[in-house]
Amino acid sequence: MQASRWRSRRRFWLAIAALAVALGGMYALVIRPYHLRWGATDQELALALPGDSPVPADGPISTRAITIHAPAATVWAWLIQTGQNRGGGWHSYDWLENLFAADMHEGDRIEERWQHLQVDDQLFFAAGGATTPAMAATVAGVVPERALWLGDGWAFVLRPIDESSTRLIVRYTLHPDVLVYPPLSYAIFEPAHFVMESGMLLGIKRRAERDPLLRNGGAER
Amino acid sequence: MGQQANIARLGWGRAAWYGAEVCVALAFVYALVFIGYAIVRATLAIMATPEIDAGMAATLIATWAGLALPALVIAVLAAIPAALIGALTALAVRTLLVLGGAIPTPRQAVASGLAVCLVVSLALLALVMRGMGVTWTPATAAALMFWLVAPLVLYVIAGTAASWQVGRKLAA
Repeated sequence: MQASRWRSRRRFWLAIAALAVALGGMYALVIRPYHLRWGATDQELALALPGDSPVPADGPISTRAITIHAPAATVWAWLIQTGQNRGGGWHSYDWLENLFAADMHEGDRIEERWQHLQVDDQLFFAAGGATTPAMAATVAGVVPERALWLGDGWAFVLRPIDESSTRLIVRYTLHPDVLVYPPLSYAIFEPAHFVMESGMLLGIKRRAERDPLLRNGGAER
Repeated sequence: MGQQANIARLGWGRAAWYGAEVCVALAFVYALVFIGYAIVRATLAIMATPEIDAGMAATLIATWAGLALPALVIAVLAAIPAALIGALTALAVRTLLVLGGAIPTPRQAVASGLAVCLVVSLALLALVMRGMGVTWTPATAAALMFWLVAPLVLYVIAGTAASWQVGRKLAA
């Protein structure tokens, strides 16, 4: 009785371990490569973007892109009011960010007071950005309506397709030491970063396409 | 003699192992519930976005994987302290039952489990809120609910239920 219970428990844990190995392999071989280039074309992957490091990066680089049916000026207006300390969020899943005490309260309008961004400005990832350097990104470069890049190897580039459509390309260099134990960066930070960054691009797309010509200040119609 | 015989059926090692198993299972159940909730919310947001050039289905699957993997890895990491807390809780409950001075009934087992779980929960709350200086503000409320309060409520419920089950077995 005891022996058969032990055997069935062992089989259960072996099945769990096998499932974990299979799912891990599928993530590494199929899902992760997709995460790293979500929406980007081969040409965009090879593109040199502002903020690219002159020396090879020590971690994986993701390049993600999305087509937004709105002029570059509209996409730019949403992009530069990014930050907990500016528009109230990163246009992504604020309910998820708030589980980490980020205190995001995304606004639903383009606001004039956030339409000016310059080098050395800070974009907070969370409410503690003012006191904790790790919770903020510093603006390293701004080309109005074309590019914004941040100090830690994170660039947002706008490429107008025509007068009413824009390509938004985002490149990020993962620093493996972002978490205490580097392998955890790959298993925790990297997939989480995909969720938040793709969520950000989708969030900007939804907002910009709602009122592409900013007739209503970007507010919901 | 009867009490000794009943309690002996649940040795210290077996009690600790059972408590650890319950809390490890709890960590994974909590992670799965979170993954389910997060997948539903993210899916609704993605489906509200028209014409995603990366593909709607592929984006959904990639997002589900991106939500599930970190949550499961964190659950694996959380399973280590959870196992320790579970084992210590079970040992404390067993000690209370031994000290009870009578053959433990399911009701006594429930009372012991509830008492131990509440004391451990309050101690952990005090450790985080006072020891680590975390305060309850609108900014931290969601985080504290998610990382501390909800897991502790589940721990108290599971600990009490497991104690009741043990009490039933001992009384049988």
